[in-house]
Amino acid sequence: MLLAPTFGPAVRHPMMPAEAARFFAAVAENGARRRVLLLRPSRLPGWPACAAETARLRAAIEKVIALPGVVWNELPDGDHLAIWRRGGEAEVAGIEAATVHTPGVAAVFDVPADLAPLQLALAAIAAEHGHAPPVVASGPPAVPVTLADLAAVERVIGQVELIERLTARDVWRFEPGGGKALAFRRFSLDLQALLGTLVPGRTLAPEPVLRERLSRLASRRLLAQLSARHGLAGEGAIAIPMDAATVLSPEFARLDAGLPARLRGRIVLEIPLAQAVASPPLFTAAARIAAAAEMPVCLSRVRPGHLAGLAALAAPATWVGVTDAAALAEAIGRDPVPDPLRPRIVAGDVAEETTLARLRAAGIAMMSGPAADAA
Amino acid sequence: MCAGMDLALRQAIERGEAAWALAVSVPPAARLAPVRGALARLAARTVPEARVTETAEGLIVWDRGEGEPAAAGRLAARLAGLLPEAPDAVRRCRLPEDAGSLAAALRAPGGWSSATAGVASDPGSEALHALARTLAALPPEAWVRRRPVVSLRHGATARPVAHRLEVDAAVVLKALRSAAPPPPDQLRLLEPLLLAAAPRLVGSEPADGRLLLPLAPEAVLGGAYDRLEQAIGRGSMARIVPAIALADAAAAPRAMASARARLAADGQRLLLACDAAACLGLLALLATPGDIVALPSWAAQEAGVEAVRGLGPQRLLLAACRAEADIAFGLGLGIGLFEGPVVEALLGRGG
Repeated sequence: MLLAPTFGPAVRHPMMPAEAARFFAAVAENGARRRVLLLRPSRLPGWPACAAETARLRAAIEKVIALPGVVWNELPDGDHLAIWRRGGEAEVAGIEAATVHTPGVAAVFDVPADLAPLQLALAAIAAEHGHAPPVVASGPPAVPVTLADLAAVERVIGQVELIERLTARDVWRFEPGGGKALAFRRFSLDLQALLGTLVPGRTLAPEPVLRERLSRLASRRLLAQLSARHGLAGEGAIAIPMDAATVLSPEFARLDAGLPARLRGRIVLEIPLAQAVASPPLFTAAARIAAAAEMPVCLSRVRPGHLAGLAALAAPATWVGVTDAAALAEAIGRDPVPDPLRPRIVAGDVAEETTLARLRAAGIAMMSGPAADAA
Repeated sequence: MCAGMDLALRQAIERGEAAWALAVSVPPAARLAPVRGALARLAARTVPEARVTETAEGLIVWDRGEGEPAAAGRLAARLAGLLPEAPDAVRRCRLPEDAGSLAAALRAPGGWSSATAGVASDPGSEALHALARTLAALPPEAWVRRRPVVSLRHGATARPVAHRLEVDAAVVLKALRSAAPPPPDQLRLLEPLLLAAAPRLVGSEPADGRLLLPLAPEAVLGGAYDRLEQAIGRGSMARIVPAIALADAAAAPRAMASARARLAADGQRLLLACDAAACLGLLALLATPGDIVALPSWAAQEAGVEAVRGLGPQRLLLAACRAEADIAFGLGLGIGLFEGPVVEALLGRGG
């Protein structure tokens, strides 16, 4: 078994995220100032079998260890917090240079100025280890999220394991003869739950523009994690939530460049309808770039009532994900569904057997939901 | 993708050096900044040893040497697959034979960025938050751009019947110290500022003038909208016309229905804004007869006369009119409301 390399000086103090959160709150309350390095070497791609990256990181860390007055604390699972007073700009720059291609491995905070994002990072670590968020925040849950909250989230989202937050639902392909086969597993990310972990007490509901921005931040982070860990796909096909602009980003180019041939054609990118409507050229380009990488696109969150007007817009998509299967079953016999769309429809949330039967009779073969699981 | 590479190509041309090149012409619809970045990355990844230079039309991927590498052939095929609407998008060139055409491409006015109203990369939430704070501390007149909307009929004098509000891009550029504005979806993060500034701005409109205010349907149901109503009085709310993006209306049908109910109770109309011909089918499904429907002139012309007639020209606002021919196109269809640079020029000349 490959042992994970250790970091830091010989003298290290064990510290739980909640303890760290209380400590930094006290530092701020007392008017003190500290500089903090949060180090997560397990975020290195290929960890622990990444000798070159580990050596580069270790060389940069040695200079931090040599700073006067550094206290080295060990968080659970090999994460570290190095704390010292002000200074060490050159050493911090060295850490940043060593980790520039591996976001999420190291972050530097100045307390009290950066207390909030540091607390968010600690909350994320605590959540990953199954602990309650250490930041005590009570109050009404319906305070709308603000741009300032997202600025804080942006600083720490590199620390959050999004893959572990995905929930899966099976999408089945129903054969004309009566059988069914697993088409792909559809993963989704609860953005409100993610925000709730990082900024307790905030809601996305009244702020669709900020929700869109959080979605983009999350999809970029998700791609970066997928690039490092291809195991999510398992042996079958998967669908992951995606943002059109992210498909055109360097993160996607990195994923494409490193994607093994066996995974080509097995990762479906779900791009919501609203993004396609907001910029059809961007959506078209994203779908083509994805197709060139052998990743089909599913135009998702389409409502049954939209189908009649979507022939042109949905043309670049391989699949069209339709919500509200019951309404779709009602509408499909009544409203015109453009012929090119019908065989590409993926009906979600099929809850009733009768809905399933009606959709199958209408030629819809791809379905998910309790009734599809049970059939 | 930088001036240095541009210079290197110019030198290769001037010195008559041997080189191979792929001149890639990208259709206007695909010249968005993120698409540009993705294509350039694809080129750099497929032919790592090559250089990538931006031109007004697209890209030149090139390198010195007698023969074109096999990877360049693969890149040409991939780019052709990504740009199917332009069959001649990728042109294989050799230097010094094709020096004239490559030099002309480099000399063409405006780089790709300026040719496509370049868009800066994401400045980050922190910078956008700082920008929002900066703008909020200033009087709205310093950062709000009021785009006049005129009612035009053949032979009648143009006069503004409304103003569409937007954050002044020049102020944003200055505040962010950027050469190009952030992507439009990120400028939407500043919409709450426009809503907060609306009470003051409506006061400077003529008595019968209306303000077109970009809002998400959820915002029509929020506290800030309540405060607007309190500030100007319910009786004046008919002067506020929420301009809702079609994408938002499609994404949130329940909020849209609630917003419609609230607006109807106050005697307000709403404007549904569609930015592309490809979305006209959806627009026809989601717009109600009482809505004003805004469509950019280029999208209306791309969609064609019949499609525009199907929307009902009498409720259309032809936006982004850049030439008098755009206005003539709209008038010919019976459209009465116009907005855009040519409208502003027309008003500047006294209608």
